[in-house]
Amino acid sequence: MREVMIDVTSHNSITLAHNTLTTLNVTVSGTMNLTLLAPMQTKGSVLLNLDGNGELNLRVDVDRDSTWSMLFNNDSKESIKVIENWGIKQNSSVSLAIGELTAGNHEKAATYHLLEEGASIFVRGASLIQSTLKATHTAIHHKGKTSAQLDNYSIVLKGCEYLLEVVGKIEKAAKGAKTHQISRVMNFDEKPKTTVNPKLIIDENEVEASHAASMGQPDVNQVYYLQSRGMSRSESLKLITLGYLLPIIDVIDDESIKERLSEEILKKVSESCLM
Amino acid sequence: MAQLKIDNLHVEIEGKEILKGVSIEINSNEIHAIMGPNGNGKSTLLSAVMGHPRYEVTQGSITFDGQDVLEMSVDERSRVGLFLGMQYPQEVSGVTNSDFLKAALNARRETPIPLFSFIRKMEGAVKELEMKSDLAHRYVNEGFSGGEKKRNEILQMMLLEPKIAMLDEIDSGLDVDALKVVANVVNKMVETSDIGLMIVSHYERFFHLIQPTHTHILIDGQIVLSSDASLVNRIDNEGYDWISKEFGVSIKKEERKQPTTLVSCAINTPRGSENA
Repeated sequence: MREVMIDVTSHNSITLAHNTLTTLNVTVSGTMNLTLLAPMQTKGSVLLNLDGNGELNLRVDVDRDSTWSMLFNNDSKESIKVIENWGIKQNSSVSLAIGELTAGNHEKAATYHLLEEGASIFVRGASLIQSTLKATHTAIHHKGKTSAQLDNYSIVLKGCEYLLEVVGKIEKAAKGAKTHQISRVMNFDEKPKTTVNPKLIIDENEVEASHAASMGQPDVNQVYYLQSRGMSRSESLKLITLGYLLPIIDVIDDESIKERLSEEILKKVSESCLM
Repeated sequence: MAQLKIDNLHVEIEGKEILKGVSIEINSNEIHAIMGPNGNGKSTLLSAVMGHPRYEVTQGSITFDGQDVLEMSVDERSRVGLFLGMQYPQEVSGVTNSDFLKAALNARRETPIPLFSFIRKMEGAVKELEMKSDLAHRYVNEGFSGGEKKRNEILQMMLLEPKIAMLDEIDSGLDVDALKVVANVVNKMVETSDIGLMIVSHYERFFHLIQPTHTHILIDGQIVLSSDASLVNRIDNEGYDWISKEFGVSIKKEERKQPTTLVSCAINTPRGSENA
């Protein structure tokens, strides 16, 4: 696969090239608009590294019969708000991995419009919340035989705040649509400031929909077991955290994205203070 | 030479006293068998020595080579040379056995263990314990049978090379052949290193394979009798009741909550009740 790297520092519209790994280094300043266009019958990968301070309005249009794997890694240590609007057309599939692993105040609202039959989106998010994260993921099934799987695995450190809302919406006449979500949160705070809000809004019959949400704290017996083998409490918590987040990458097909997200998780977890 | 010294140890859990003054010394090259009826404090003793947060030491002392163990965190106790092979080993999802063991080894080294050395060490131990070759890539204890979990405890003991190891019912869940494999490995460690052992088990068959140098009977939170290996045979033949008579101790039976059944609910519901 060909590789292309683009630095984005202002409003831009980028057409993604077929069979290419495109790396976008996006530095946000003020309010910025960015559009990504995946043309008809194309496939490829995108690594989007986000940095800076401000608001990013991101629009992603995936035309028919295309297959794209993407990793959006938010590396900003400042305040950043990202509003995403996705339009996925007939028989196109997007596999999106999300890394939210830094100590910035982040806000994200992503809407995935499954516009035509056969469109699908698979989201796998790994978050290590070291400050504040408010995230909303909404999959809207406009037509039948569309699929969405929205999975979010998060660790919330002591004193940090996390608000997650995940919505699966199936509109009238979208028969055969499938919308599923898994949200798992591990809180390190005994009095966590975490809210998880799963929602399913179903306006049609003959559809599939499910959600699974769970929240808990590190298992004291697991921590004890690891400490009994000589690891400090911090090392034990880091290993448990890695065990929580790394399996997310197992279900990512694209090797370059898999490797990149794995590196990010390993790096950020080892740098963080988990006590 | 290492010494673990437990002196007049009193331990509580949730306000209830379980150990009521236990004193015992384990030295290098000694094998101490701890026996006694269920629910009388054997596992509590081992867990308290290792520092499980559920257990509160209210009186007494534990020293290791003269150092105060009670002042140490759990990981410090491990790094000075204590090991506990647990009765119910924890599953740690998402963490491979390989990453877990490497982290455990590196926790007690100045520099990380070279990869090749680690692989060689681990593969050698896996082979000796006749475990599956894919162990390294599996998550810690996840999907393991009971016997595999126990063997995994021994594998960790082999790699971490403790000075004093405590094994809590390591024989439970092992079939006859697996028991021999584990016993052979433990005996080999005894022969080739100065390891001291404190082993909790109910069964003579295990102590036939690993001959204790000392045997202690723990009843109602106290060691009521200590002797040599011959005591194991007597317990196996006669049980514990003779101890009650000879030494005047009452044997506490382990309390098990009775499950509530639909039948018992029906019986307890008054006749004529709206909810009947």
